[in-house]
Amino acid sequence: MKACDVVVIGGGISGILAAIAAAKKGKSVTMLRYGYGAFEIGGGLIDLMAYPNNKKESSSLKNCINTLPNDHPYSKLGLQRVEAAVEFLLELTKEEGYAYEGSVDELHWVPTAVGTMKPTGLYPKSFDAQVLKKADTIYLVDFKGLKDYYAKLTEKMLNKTIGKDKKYEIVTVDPRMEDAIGGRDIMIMDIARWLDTKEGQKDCANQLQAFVKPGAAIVFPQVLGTMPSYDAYDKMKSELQCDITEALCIPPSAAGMRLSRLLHNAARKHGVKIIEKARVNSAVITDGVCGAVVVSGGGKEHTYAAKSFILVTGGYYSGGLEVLDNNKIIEPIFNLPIKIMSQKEDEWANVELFSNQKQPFSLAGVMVNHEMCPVNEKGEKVLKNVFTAGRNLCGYDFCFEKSGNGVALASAYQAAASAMEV
Amino acid sequence: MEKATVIVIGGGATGVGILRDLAMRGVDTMLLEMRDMVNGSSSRYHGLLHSGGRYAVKDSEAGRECIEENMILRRIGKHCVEATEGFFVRLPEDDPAYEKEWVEACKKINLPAIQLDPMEAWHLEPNLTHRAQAVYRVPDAAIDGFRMAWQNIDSAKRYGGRVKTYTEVIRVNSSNGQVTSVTVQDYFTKQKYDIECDFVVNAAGPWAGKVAGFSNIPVNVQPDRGTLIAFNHRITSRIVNRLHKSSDGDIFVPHGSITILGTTSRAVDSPEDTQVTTAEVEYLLRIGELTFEDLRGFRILRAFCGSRPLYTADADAKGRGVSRGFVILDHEHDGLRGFASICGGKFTTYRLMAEKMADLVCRYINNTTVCRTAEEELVPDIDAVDIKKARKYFPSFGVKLAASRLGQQKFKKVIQRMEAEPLKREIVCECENVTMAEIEEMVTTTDTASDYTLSDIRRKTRMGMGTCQGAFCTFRSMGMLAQNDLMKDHDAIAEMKDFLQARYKGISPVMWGNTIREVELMRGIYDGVLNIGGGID
Amino acid sequence: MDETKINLPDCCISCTACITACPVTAATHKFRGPKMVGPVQSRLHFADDEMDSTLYLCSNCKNCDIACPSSVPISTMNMLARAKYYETHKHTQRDAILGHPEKMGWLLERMPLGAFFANVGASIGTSLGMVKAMGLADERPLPQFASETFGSMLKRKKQAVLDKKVVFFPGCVINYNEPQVGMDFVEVMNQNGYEVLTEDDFVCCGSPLVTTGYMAEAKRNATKNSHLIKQCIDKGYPILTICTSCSLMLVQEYHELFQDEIPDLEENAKHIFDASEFLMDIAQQDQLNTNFGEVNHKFIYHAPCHLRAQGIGLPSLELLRLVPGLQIDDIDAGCCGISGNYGYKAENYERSMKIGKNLVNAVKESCVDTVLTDCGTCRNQISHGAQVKVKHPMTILAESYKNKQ
Repeated sequence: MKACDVVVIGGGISGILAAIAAAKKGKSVTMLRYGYGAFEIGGGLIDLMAYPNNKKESSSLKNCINTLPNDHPYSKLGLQRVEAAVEFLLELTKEEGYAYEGSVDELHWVPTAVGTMKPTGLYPKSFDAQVLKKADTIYLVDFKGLKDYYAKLTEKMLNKTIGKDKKYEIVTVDPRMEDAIGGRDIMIMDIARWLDTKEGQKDCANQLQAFVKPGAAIVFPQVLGTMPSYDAYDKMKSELQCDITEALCIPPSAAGMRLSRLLHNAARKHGVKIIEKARVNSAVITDGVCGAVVVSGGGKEHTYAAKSFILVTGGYYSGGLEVLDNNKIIEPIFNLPIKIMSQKEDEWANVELFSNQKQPFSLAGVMVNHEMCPVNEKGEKVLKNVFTAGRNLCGYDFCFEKSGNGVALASAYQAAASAMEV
Repeated sequence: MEKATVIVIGGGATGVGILRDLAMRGVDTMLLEMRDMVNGSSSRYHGLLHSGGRYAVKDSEAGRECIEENMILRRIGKHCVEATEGFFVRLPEDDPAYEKEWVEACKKINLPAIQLDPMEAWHLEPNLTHRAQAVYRVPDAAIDGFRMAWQNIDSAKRYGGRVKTYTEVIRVNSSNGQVTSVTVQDYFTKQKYDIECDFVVNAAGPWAGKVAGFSNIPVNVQPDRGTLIAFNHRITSRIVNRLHKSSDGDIFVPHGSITILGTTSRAVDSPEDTQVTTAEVEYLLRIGELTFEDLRGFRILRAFCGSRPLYTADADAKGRGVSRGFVILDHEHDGLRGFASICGGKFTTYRLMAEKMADLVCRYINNTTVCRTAEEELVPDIDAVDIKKARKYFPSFGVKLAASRLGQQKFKKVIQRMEAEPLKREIVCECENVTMAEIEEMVTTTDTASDYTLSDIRRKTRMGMGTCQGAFCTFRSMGMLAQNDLMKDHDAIAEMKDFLQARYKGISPVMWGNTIREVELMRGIYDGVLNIGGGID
Repeated sequence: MDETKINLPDCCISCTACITACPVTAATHKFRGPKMVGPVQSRLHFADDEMDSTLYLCSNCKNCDIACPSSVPISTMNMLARAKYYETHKHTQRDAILGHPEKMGWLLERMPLGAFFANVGASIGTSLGMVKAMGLADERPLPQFASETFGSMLKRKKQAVLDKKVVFFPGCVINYNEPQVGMDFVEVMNQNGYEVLTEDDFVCCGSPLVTTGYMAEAKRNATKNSHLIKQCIDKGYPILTICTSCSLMLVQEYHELFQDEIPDLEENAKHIFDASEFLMDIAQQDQLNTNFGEVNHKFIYHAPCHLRAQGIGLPSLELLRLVPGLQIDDIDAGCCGISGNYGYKAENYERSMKIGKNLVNAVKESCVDTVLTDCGTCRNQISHGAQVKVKHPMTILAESYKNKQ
């Protein structure tokens, strides 16, 4: 049976990044994906770390990595390797023509649709709360009929977070989608697709020019395109001569679609073989070595053999971790040992949803060593040629900490490095 | 000072029933509810309109009452009752001798229980276990507690009845042993004021003891907690009862797109103790999966509980032994004229309970008008013309649901809003098909409270009660309200957090399977992306 | 996730992945989108008999299913809803035609010069406006009928009797419109030591019946085909097809639509293959005839949506990469827009061209003169939209084998 070098199980952000990392180093990579990951949920930003311990004190990753608990993925990786992963991603986005900015050194704040500020790590330059701080006048753009963003709501809270001493003005743009209203309704995605086109960009800029005075700052919902390109952003900036920032919104996320497309293009460019709608059901393991994984597709089973495997199937959302109804968690493909904080019922979920403590169910997951190799409670490697990364790892709460895509990136990069050495 | 002839305390089934009855008899009545309508027992049960089958053997009087009232409510409450019919199913675990006893008992109370072949039962309800040994059909029905309350109020308003929500009675005032007024406090403004009245009806359900206690009158109401599970889809189109001596977890009731399994019975100290534990859920599942074998594979939307108000004259009797019949206490016997409490009872007989209390009140105030609540329908039918019109603006599968929950009057107004402003046709809650027009109608015409919360909108429209449990509509509704200058003084972030927390409260005991995935999404959006915990650098 | 329960809308968590992937949603503001007409409608329509008014816009392209992380069979739910709609609504004559390509082909086969006259008639009908009046898109050429069916061609060919055999399920497009492609497939199989048998009693897989709402008929076809397939399997013959909509139907949709109503569907599926999938499988065991002759040409490959939905990757692309001198790239530019008979309906024409615009532009920019794709209607759409030649990968493989000789 012909084996490739690396099989990546999962095609979310961790999977694609691992696949690209290995492919770039000349490995033959096959990526088996089921669904498209959580790109359209998240904002397309790479949150590295913001709240390591409580919700009140924020810190950049660099400043707090030494205070994180031992089983936090970042602790296992160490700052150097996280920085290498960050470097890898920044390079990649630059190559693909949609360069991200940022670093582990400092937090970068971006505005959200509810007017709060959200701290992130790596970001497209169109997301920047700093422009709001510098400006005297802030325009908030509403789109007529867009039901997933309301400038008035944003303004309400911005007053508190950015300051009352600014002048706020709401401007409404008509995206000319009357036929959608009350039938299909208009989502962020629709406006973003409108602004993918030159006509849309021109129309939008023209409408805004009637109201917007140069030298101000403008907040857009994240609608500046669905493609990995700064065209729409550049156009708005040059036509309106204002500083611009996008605000994070509810799904479907246009910025997430951009990142998804960027990574997908890069994966293809570097020769990653992508199999869609491929759900891995089981693995063929002999003496601690995985020889192949089994996928059901086309009504029958297919095996994919490789020298090494990277398990990046995500967490609860995508089925990488399953919680059975007797509160037992399993990792369904390799049956990897799972760490749970406690078996007690009241220690599975906090009483408060937005608790000031990390959620135990979020901290549960697969245990790994510093090579991203799955281990048991004693720290012994469970499999010799399987590595894992991303949401299924134990020890971190991505919502609380704001560390989701950062852990995904860093652990995937390391998992790829480890897989390549097999 | 505000005045009403009669004040009814408590916006549950009993209270609204009394309001309607008195209003229809021409009595100037005002109902005061400390929070939102049906926030107590009447919204936290399985919504079963009993045929009486459950009581036939043990309490034939109660059984007879049930079947009679059942027939009445089906007639007058067409738009809040779903005449689903029910099955009584005997499983191998159930005593066959009970079946005989039960069939006899049903005959005695005139309850038509028709036996059918289990094969046919499986054909009608494919999810039902094939271990069923006997199946009987009964005229059980499902009743929507929220709708029932709002429709009783709509009916009462037509006759001049009045309602104030978020208005808590904190004192019953009297002079010379005769009630003169009540002192109330507005939940939002914290303002206290008096309302003059001649008679006070204490229909506060599990809080009845507390209310009577204002006047140092002992009314022994024991809150008894029942836990229920809501499944995400219609497992069965009929109510399914176990054919055995009434006990826990033996009823499944379909409600619209969901199914409720209940219930349990446990004495608690406070009716406000509404946090369900996973152990309670597991307990119900173990019983329920005997009837529907694939039960554990079905997604649980949430788990919730409510307190039954069990009344007992004897302070020690608790739980299922205590009678579920109702009792009316005229507190003239306790030295206070013009004050009466109504305790115990069950939802199915609310109209009858209301009738008896209204009779007592009318005797006092010398009103001889006859009770007509059994004769007149709660609300008129929806015009077919309006349904047709609505189809132009609504996704088809949402039209009839919206029409029946809004009632004819409000439905017309909602359509008018949609016609006048196309933007209002946009759907805020996609899981349950709630439009902006409907939400706007609800919040701008609320004349029952000085203010409202997102949860109030939820109760009136079903927003946030579907699959995603508010993941999207929390933001959209808040945004839309801000856009239209509604809820101006509210802290939008706090409002959204409270709403999601309330949803989460019912989800946290069932965090597995697809349910935990929904919570990941909820957290991912509000905490991960929007950083609703707030962040300022 | 318990896959046996996938017929429930339970699994949907409203994540919106399907909405971002749906090409129809991207092309029109009228379609309410897969989430609404699929799982939401499924949950709520107990309350109302009327189906969503925008349901007709779903093209059954399967992109929603591919994107869904929760295994919700969204497009199948849409098709079931559509079938329900037609229980109380009449079909138009246009729908009758589009739903039954097999009936047309069967009839023409039995008439002297039937195909010839049908093609001429279609031409005339188009220019007289009759095609448009019937509700068919007259902007695009209607599929041409071949003068001889594949079944007839195969009978005439003298295949060597070989030990290894496969049964071929041609499907309507190969049988009535492009029989030569079927013969190319036979050539490829012969070159690999397989004799190709066929089953005269196979009927249309049912895909066009499902999308036009003739569900009862589709079930009858499925029952018949499954029975015949089982008999072939019992004899030890795998079933191969080269039409990706037929393979999707046979291995997946039969199960999604008719599980519990027709026996052996899951077991049968284990022995039904896309031809390229089969050849790549034997290649894994080093049993593929790799004696490919040179084909010095640059091609583009377009992956049909119905192939991507099967979870078997792009096996024909991989086979083509084994051919020396051949340059090929996966264009990866989204749905072509025609989705079976969807794009042939007059009211869908513009939309289908809008959906496929990205692909057409990418083809034009690539400057190739031939696009390869396994789906018959994709071939029609690409040739119409990009004005290039279109071929089935089997044709190139057959050519390659022949070049060696």
